[in-house]
Amino acid sequence: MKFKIKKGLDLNIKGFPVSDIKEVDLPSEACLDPRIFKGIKPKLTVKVGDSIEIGGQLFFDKNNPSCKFVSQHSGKIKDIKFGKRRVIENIIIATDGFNKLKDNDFNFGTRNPSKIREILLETGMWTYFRQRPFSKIPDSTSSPKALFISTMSTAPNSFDPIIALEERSKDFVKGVNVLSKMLDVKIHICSSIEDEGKFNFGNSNVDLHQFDGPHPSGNVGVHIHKIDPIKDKNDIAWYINPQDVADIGSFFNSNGMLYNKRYIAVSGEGLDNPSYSAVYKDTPVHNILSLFKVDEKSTIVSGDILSGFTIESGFSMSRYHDTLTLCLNEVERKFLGWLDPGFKALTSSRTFVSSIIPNLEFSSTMALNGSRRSIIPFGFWEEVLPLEILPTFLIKSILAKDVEEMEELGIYECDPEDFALCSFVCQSKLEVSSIIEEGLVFIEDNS
Amino acid sequence: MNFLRNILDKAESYFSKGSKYEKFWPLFDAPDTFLFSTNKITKKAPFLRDQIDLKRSMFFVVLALIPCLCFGVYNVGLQNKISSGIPFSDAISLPLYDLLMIGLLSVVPLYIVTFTVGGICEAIFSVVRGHEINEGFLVTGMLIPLVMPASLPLWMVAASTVFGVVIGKEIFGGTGYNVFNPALLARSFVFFAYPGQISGDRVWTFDAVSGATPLLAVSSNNSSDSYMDALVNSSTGHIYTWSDMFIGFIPGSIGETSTLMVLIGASFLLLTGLINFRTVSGVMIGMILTSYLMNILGSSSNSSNLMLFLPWYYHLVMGGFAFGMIFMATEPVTSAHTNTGRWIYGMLIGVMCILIRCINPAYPEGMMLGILFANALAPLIDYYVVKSHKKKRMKRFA
Repeated sequence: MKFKIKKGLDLNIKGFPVSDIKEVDLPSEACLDPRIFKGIKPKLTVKVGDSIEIGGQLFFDKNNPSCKFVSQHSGKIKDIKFGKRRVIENIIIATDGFNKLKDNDFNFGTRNPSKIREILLETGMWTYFRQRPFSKIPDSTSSPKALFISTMSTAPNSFDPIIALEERSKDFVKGVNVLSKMLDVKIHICSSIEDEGKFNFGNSNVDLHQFDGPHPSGNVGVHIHKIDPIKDKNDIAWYINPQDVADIGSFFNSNGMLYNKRYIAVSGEGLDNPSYSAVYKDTPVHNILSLFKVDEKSTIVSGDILSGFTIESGFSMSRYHDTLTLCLNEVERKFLGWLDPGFKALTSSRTFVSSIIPNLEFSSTMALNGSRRSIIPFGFWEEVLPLEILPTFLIKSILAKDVEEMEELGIYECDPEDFALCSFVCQSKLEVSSIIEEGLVFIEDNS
Repeated sequence: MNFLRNILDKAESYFSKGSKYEKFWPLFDAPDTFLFSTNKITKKAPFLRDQIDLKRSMFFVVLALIPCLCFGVYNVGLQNKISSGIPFSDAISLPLYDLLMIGLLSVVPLYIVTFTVGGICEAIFSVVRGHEINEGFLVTGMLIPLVMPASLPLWMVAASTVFGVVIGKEIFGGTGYNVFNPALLARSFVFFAYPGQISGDRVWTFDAVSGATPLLAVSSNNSSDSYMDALVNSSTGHIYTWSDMFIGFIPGSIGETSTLMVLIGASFLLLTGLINFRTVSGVMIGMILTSYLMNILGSSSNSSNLMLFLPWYYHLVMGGFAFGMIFMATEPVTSAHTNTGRWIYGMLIGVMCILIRCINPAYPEGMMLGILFANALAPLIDYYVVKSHKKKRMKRFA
């Protein structure tokens, strides 16, 4: 099916990555921060000094014990860093360069759904799945009503998955077919209108959809909302990053090799030469950035500029992200800034001269551009949210902690990333995305 | 500007958290962020924010009010001359400078009083409540004198400003939490507390001679054959034509008389997207439909109430209709918060305004009460819109 998204906003900002791919070598140390996995309670199964192989278990989730989190490298556990209340902050693995694989005796001959499920759980590939609502790893025994794969990205300067998939199309098709066999539910693959007809699965369980329009038309939350909306917290859809699907396909195509590389985009204005990169998974960010000229006054963000989170250079980017953004963090205080005609102002409002100049490429910083105020409902949030949701009322119900109202207004269909543009356009500088996040956490604990 | 920045940076150490005057932080923050844009950076995603903030939006609304203010000042001078016995045709050819000076002499004190009194209220609440001083007051302070007659005693302006700011806004929690439009509440305070001063024929009493507003002229006249004959200044005999009223050469509150100037401000605000076209369209539609209805009612019942015969384009240019529609009804906090709700809310204002004007013999002007009434009902409108939205959402799962 074809979908035309009307509401939203495409931001044309500097720092677009060029598509020639820089190869990042195998790092001497790899690292993994369990906090990137939402809502899990990690329990370590290794200690400092242990040797580990690719696919070897590092920790598991106490609430979902058969779901394993594995190492993507072979070597030794060099260090495990703990924060307050012994929260695991970083697991550091000294790589040995042998890329040794953990011995598994999977029988690839018989492939029934439960066998595939077992393989995915055992190899840590189960963690590639996430579910809506709550954007967390699904329970190891559950099944979704549908699986969504988005092969498009509309966030500014973000990674275009098609570039990776074209190179790995065989693995991608295989991965989709394996998942289809395991789940036996509809798999919805959503691509941008330009990429129509790039893949052929020959599988009646796979539905292909095309989305057209401004950001967030590429967000999986929008796709789920349009194709098979989530009704309540037990109405669960899964989604998965297409590169992860290709990894699963590669595993089955190669009889058990775990694919531990990934294509990413390194973008943003904090770089001289933003471009695509091929990196090993769990590579610390400073290893990646050593290939680039980075501005001193920049902040590292794992993910795109609208929905990522800041990380330090000794950590690796989230396993779910394929964009690394460097944002400029220096902001000057302009004299009578509110009087600025704004020839170059980045805005969706029509109160700056820039809004009537076509095809401007904007320079961007992390400036908040104002101070926090109470909600003044100008109606700007509604202009950039292509969902059947009333953001002003939903946000108020979250702030009031009114569970019933939140449910009726559709909190289960929401994810912070879909509301990023609401935060962007907000004049009162409200953290709309974070409020949605808080609402989801609250409702998960209280309903 | 580095010099100024240095002074402010030094002063900041006295007001920042943990220092001596920490409590008075809002008093430092307001001028500081007014003079220099903030350098705060985003801590959470998205790491990119629109350049617009409340300061700029509010400043743009103030800009949109400038044409009304300028014409208002001129008209105060003009009406003053007319009420002192000079015929309209002579008064209008008097030197601009003379008229403006008279106008400024009565308008400037109103502004000084409003901003001083309102600013103090705002500052006290900010310090006590510990929140930053809100830009919303700039617009409220700008509006209050514009909806008052120029001849209003200054102490009444002060009292109504306190009422508008404190009762209208601050006791609810400040800008964003208010139920009623503070400027309108200030006006209604004068209207009900000192009724003799704000409407009727004492509006322009500079000397003994007074002039009734066109609305009052029509509504208090039961003897003329048509509303055209009634549109006469009873004391000077000057006839109010439609174009006079459109341009604004009529007695009335300072900012409301000129529909032309209001429309200039309106197009600016609509182009910049700071007022919602749905509300404005709703008010117009409600007003036009109700006027037609009243016209039909009037001609079928042969009523002596001339207001019933007034066509919509007269309603548009008389009294505070246009001003209220653009600058009061569209206030985002007190209007409905859903797009469907904004249509209904707007129409309600249009309907109520004309109903009060035509049918209620006590008040010739209905715009203020119409808007306050709709303000009170806006949450109810939203309640039903949200309810039907929830139903519509549930239908998607069927």
